[in-house]
Amino acid sequence: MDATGKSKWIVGLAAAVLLIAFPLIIERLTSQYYLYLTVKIMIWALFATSFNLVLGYGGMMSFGHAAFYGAGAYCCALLLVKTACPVWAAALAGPAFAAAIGLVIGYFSVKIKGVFYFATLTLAFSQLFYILVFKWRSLTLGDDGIQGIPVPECISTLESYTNYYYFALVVTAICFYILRRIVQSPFGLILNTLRENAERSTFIGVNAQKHRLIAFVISAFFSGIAGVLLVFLETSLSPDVLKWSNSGEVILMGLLGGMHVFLGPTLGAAIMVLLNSFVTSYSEYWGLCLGLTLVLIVLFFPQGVGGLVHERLEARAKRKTA
Amino acid sequence: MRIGTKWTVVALSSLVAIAICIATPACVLAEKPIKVGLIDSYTGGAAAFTKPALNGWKMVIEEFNSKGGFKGRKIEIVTRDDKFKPDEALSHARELLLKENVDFLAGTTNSGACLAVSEFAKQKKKLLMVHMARSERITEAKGHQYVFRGSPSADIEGSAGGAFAATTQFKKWYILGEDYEYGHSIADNFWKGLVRNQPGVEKVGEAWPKLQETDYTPYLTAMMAKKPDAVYIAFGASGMVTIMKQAKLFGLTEKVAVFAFSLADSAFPRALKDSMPVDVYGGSNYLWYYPDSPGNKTFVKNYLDFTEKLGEPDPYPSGIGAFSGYCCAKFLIEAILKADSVETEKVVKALEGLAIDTPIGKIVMRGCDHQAETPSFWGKIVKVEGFPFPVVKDVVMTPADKNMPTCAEVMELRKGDK
Repeated sequence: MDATGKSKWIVGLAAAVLLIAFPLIIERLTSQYYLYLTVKIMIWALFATSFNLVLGYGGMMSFGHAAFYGAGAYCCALLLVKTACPVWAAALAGPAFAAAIGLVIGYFSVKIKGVFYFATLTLAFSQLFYILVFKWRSLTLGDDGIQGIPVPECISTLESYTNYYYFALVVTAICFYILRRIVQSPFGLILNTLRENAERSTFIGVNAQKHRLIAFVISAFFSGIAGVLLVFLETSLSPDVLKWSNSGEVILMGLLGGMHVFLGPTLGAAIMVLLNSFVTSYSEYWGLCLGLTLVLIVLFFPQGVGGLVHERLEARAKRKTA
Repeated sequence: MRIGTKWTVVALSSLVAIAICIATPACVLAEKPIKVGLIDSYTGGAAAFTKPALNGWKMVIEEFNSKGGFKGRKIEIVTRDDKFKPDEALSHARELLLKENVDFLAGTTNSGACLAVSEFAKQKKKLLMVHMARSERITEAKGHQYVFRGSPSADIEGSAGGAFAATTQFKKWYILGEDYEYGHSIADNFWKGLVRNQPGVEKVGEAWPKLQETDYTPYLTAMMAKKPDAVYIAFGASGMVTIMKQAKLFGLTEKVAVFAFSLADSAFPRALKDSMPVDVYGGSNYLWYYPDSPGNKTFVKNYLDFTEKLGEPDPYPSGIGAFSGYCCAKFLIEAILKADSVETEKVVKALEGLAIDTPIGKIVMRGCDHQAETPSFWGKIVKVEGFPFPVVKDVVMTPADKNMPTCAEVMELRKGDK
């Protein structure tokens, strides 16, 4: 193993140990609230990373990803509240339903040429889904939302967030592993090619629509998993989860963290969640603070914080080998 | 040697300080305030109501603190802005409880946010005092041991409106409501109250424009085609301002009798200004000029003095905001005093059946469902000399107990929701 490989392993191992020991450290040093925030970061990170498969790798500016996040969450929550469906089945049905919705929206959207039309169509579909949930009061309870969603005792957050932290960590880690394999696979490389130059890719025989649709459905599936994790964490759900602003937030996370680095959106999610929690504790001007941060990032680090770190690390590695 | 002596002195003084604090726990407690975590929408359209509500809370708490607080402990309000979003509200509730260690939770205006926070309060066994959210599910189907509402619910307001409307003897009715939970809820309860008190009324039509609609003219035109005698407008606060402005241009009030709850609240004539309709029927949970009693006058004056100190003098306290905040703060403080404790379980017990004195008389927190028995005031809104804007003339007060579901009905709803 070369030096770079070795240091990667060491960093990975240290991160794993830190993540495993994190609840113990938090419990000793501070409040459980930070454990809750960490789980929230994981959920947003999963949502943002799955979205990044479409935007960062596929170059598709979807403005409707909240629909998949919300579809997964609503499907799971409704099955748990309205039927006698076992928890594991509801948890699997959530992402499956999100993927199905992704297939429908994606089928129509990937045919459209041009970023603007793609964004508009995905936004329109997601708003349609939002209105449906908002208005179908007999099924979804409208804007009152769903509360008291039953969660298995082993991951319940009633007494402590520790168990749920480990559950979310395992689920997120597995999803990240799969997503990472996808972006590194030939399929992922084709997605990159489509992002860079779709026309040229089709000349060499790539079926652009098919690849984009598959990416869209995969992304919807993992967004649905993030939705299910949210349901188990909050045990309440409102139609706001489907609002276009949530689709916007994952775009911002990508911008903040860096869209072309796998862990960029995770970094963006961490910055957004922590900044939000910190700023809203002291001020009502969270929007202003976020706006300023974004302007600074876009002006000075257009590749995002993650992109910047990645560039620096690569430059260092090059210097060492030279 | 010198350093050693210095450290010995430090250690000994620390030991003495610790011993003193252990021996006299009251001295430690005296410094720790009782924290109330208030979650509400302090930015956006709802701020016109949430800020007066916060003033209502602060006014009562300031007076309580100036008298020494509870066993030397003062009450402190910690506010958080939920931006009218349930997920933000829930997130703040967690932060307030887990990080800020608040003793009680309070809020919100958004019913969805309130239900989410209420579920969390139930899980964490913390008291939640609801001050503006109206959904009846908060204290009925989704009610529990730890949630209390010191303001009216949509069914109290709706049924009272229906009962009042029955006295006017209009036959053909049209319902125009905003298509969201509050709109449907208050309209349904209005209709139930009307039919109960005046059998034989006819609903000639209904329309449900979407929330935050900007142009209501097509709805108003379609409504007039049905030739109703009267229309009930079931809108939330910000929608009410928009529709009333357009109704004025449309000349609605000259064509048909208009009924709308909350229109009598002092917040609306001030928001609507010249567009404030007259000769319409409106209601509120509080009127700054009724009853014309010394108690109410004192409240109005105290509120003006308090808001003057904040640099925003308000001589006409609103019912939706200021009065609701005032009542909730009073319920909480009197429960703490009655329980002689800030422990949640004891305060919960003390709140059940607690009666507070308010400018409009005694208000009781019903023990079975934790819903305050707030009366409603209805009447025709007209221009009266000496008043700065149109007010209700010949006020009809409907006590809450006439419009609330019975305890048995509430328990049945809770069972059904399990």
